[in-house]
Amino acid sequence: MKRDIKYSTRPFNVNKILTPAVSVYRMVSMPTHIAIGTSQAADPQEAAYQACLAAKNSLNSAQTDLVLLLTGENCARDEALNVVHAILRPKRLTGACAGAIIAPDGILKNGLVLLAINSDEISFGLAAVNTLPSADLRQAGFELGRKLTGDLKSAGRQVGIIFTDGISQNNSLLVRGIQEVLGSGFPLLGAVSSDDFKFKNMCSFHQKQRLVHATVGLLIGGAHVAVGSRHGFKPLGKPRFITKAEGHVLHSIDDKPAMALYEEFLGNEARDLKKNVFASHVLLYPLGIYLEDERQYLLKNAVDILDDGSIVCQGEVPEGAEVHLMIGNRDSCVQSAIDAAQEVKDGLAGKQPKFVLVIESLARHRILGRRSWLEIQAVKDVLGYTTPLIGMYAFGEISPFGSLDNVKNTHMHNETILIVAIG
Amino acid sequence: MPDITLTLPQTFLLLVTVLIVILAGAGYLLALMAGKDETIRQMKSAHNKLMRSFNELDEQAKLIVRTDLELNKAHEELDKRLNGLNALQRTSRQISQALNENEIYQKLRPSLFDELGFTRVLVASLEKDQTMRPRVTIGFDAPQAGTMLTQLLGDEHFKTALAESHTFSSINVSRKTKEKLVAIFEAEHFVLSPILTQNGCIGFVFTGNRTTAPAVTQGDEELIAILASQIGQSIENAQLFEKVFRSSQELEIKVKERTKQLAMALEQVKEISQKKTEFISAVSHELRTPLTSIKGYAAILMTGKIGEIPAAVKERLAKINTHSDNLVELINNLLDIARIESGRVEMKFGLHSVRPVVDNVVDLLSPQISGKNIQLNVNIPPAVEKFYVDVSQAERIFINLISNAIKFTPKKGAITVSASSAQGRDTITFSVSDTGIGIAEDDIKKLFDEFYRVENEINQNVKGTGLGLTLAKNIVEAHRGKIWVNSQPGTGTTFTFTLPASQKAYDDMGGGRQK
Repeated sequence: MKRDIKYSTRPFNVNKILTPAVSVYRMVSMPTHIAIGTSQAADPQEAAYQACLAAKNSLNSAQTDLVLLLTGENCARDEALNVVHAILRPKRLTGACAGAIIAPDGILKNGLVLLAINSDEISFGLAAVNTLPSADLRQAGFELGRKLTGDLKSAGRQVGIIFTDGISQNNSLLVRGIQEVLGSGFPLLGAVSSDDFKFKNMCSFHQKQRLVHATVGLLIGGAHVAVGSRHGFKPLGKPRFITKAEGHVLHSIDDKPAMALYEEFLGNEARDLKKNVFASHVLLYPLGIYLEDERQYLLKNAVDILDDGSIVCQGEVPEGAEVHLMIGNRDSCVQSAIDAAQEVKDGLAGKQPKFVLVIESLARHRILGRRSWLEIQAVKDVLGYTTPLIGMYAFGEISPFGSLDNVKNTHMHNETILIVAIG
Repeated sequence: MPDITLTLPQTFLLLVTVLIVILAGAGYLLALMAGKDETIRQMKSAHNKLMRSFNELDEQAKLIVRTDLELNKAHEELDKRLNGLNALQRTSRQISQALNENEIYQKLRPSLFDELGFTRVLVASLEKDQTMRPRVTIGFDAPQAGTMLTQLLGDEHFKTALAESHTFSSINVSRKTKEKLVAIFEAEHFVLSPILTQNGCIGFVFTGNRTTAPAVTQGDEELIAILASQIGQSIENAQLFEKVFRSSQELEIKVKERTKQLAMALEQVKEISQKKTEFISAVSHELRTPLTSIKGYAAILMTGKIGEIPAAVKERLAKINTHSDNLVELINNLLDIARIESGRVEMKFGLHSVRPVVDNVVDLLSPQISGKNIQLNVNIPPAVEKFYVDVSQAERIFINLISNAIKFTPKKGAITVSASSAQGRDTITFSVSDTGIGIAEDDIKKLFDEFYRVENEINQNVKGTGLGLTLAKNIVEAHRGKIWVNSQPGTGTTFTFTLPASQKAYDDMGGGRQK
C-alpha cells in the first residue's frame, strides 16, 4: 500500500494513514502559494533584491511563511539575508550555500535562488544548532530535534530536512540524535552545504543569521511528501571487505590500508587524493559499500586521508561489509535522475507536487559538466515543467534509500541525487 | 547363552569369509577415497578458476577505471575549453566595443576568470614611466598586487619572458622561474601571457590557482594567450579610435571656427556692400543736381541767347553736354542698382503683353540698329502672350541687352530676340543673341560684376559704364528670374533670362515671400 504521509499521529511511523480531521482542515484552508525568485547577479545585495522582487510580485503578500534560500558562494553573505528579510519578511528562513545551485531555468554557480511559501495547509518548524568539530554531534542532533518539534505548531510532521556544513564529521551521529526525538524511522533528508571545492565558505542560513559550523533543520507537517534517491553507479572488480572501521573512519580493506584500494586502481592519480580529495579525479570513483539489509550500494567519497592510509567518510562505515570501487558515467547519472524522479512521481500517487527540492552531489555536477542540466531536465520531464523546482549541489546527501515507503535507515550518501516533492 | 563350537573347516571358512568381507570393505573404502580426492581436486580447480576470474575481473576493472579516468579528464578539459571559449567570446565582444583602455580593463569581469577556472588573477599594464599598474586583481588585494608588481619588475626571468613576448605556464616554464613566480603569486598552477600591440608589450595577464586546484593544461595556456591577444588588439583599436575621434573633433572645431570666421566675413562684406550702396546712392544724388545745372547752363550757352559764342566754344559745350549725358546715365544706373540691391525700389508688378514691350524697345533702339545695318529678328511665338513684370524695369533689361548686342555686333551682323515658354512651366525664357565678337570664358564669370568691362578693341573705343549687365541681372533677379550667358569668341553671344508668366509663377519662384 502506498504511504500517504499527509498527517501522522505517530510521527516516527510514516506508514500510518492520516486522520480525516486534518483532511477537512486542509479542504477549507487557503491554498498554498509558492513563488521562486532567481538572480545571477554578482553582488549579493543586488542578487537578493532581484530574486525577492520576482518572488514578491508572484506571491503578492506582505509576509511569507517560509523562505528556502540556496545561494552560490558569492551570495552567502549577511547583506543578501538582510535584503531577503527586508523585502519578503519571512516568518521562517532556512537554507544553505552551495558550489552550484539549481534554479528553474538553469544551473548557477553564482547568484541565488529562493522559494517563498505562504500556506495554511503546510506547517513548518525551524531550528539551528552549533555543530563545531568538537561538538557532541549526537547531543547536537538531539537538541535540534527537540527545537524542531517545539517550533512546529501543527501536531503532525512528515519530513525533516537538514543542512549542515560538517563535511568531515560523522554526521550519522547527528542524524541519530535527531531521530532519537523524531523517531528512528522518521524520514530525515538533508544536504552537506558546499562551495567551489575550496572548503572555506560552506555555511547555512537560519532566520537572519549566516551560520558556520552549524546545522539548521526544517520540519514539515501537513503535506504529502515523496522522495526518490538514486546514484546510478555500478561496482567494479572483485568484492573486498571492510576489515576495520571505526565510526566514519575506514581503516582497512582486506587487511590493507583503505587507501591502498585507490592506489591499486588509480596508480599515480591516487597521489592527488592525498593532496586534495575533492579536487582529485578520484572523486569520480566513490566507494560503494554493500548494505545487506537494504540490498543497495551506499556511495561514500573520501573526505580526508589519514597518514596511516585510513579514509575518512561523511557517515558511519560498517565493519565487515563488502566494498567496491564504483563507476558511473553521464548516461547512468541521467538515468538515475529519471529513476529517482519516477520514484517521486509514484510516491505522489497522482498528486501534483507543490514544489520540488533537488539535492544533488557536486561530484555528479563535475562528472556531467556542461551537461548537468540534462539531469534536471530529466527530472522536469517526469515531474512536469510547471512544477516549481529549486535545488543545490552538495558535498553530501542525507536520505534513506529509495522512497519513503520502507524507511529503514537514514544514510549519509555521496554522488547521489535526492529529489523531494512536497505535494 | 548357547554353546557354539565350530569345527576347523567351519572356523577356516568363517575366517576366509571375514577376510573377504574385510578385503571388500577395504577395497570399497579405497575406491571411495579415490573418488573424493577427484572431487576435491575438481573443486580446487574450480576455485582456482574462480579466483583467477575474480582477479582478472579486478585487473579489467582497474583498466576500465584508468581508461575512464582518461576519458573523464578529456571530457573535463573539453568542457573547460568550451566554457572558456564561451566566456572569451562574450568578453571579446564586449571589449572590442570598448572605446578606451580603462573601459577594456573594466570589462574583464571576475566571472570570465571564474569560467576559465582561475581564482588568482593579476592583469597589469605597462605605463609610460615604465611602471606597472594593476588593472584587474582577483584573489589579491591592492597592496599585495603592488608588492607583486615591484617584485616582478625586479625579476630578470620575468622581464626576459615579457621581452620575448611569449605565453608560458607552470607546465612548461623552467623550474627556477616557476619557483620564483609561485613564490610571488602564491599560485602553484599558473599561466602568464604578455599583452602585445604593434608597439610591443604593454602589460600582462597572470591567471593562477593555489596548490589544491588541478594543474593547468595546454588548453588553459592557449585560452589565456587568446585573451591577452584580444586585450592587446582591443587596446590598439581603442587607441586608433581615440586618435580618429580626436582628429575628427579637432576638425569639427576647426570647421566651426572657420565657418564662424566666414560668417563674420560675410556679415562684414554685407555691411560694406550696404555702405557702398548707400554711399553710391548718396553720392549719385549729390552729383545729379550739379550735373543738371551744368547741363542746363551748357544748353543755355549753346542757344546763344546770352551771347554769340565762337564755334570752338560751341564744340566744347557740345562735348560738355555729351559727357554730362554719359555721367547722368552712369549715375542713374548706379542709383538703380543701389535701389534694387537695397530693396528700396518700388516694383510695380502687373500682367503685361510681351510683344508691345519688346517692340517698344526695338523702336527705341532702331536708329542704332539701322545705323550699323544690323538685321534684327524678333521671334516671339503667339503662345508667349503675357508676363508678370514691372514693365518699365523689364524694358530696361531688353534695352541693356539689345544695346549691348548692338555695341558688339559688327556692321551687317544680326541680332535675334526670342521668347519661349516651355510646356508646363509658368516662366518665359527670353534670349538676345548676336553675331558679335563673343566673350572669352574667363570674362564670362565676371561679366555681371559692377564696373566690369571686357578688355577688347570695341570697349576701348566705345565708352561704357560697366553697369548695364549688372543692372539687367539685378532687375531679372528682382523678378525672381535668372540670367546667364553663352558665348563663343568670334561666333557671337547669347544672353538668356527668365521672367514669370503669371503672379503665381512669381510667387512660386519665391517672389511671394519677398513681398
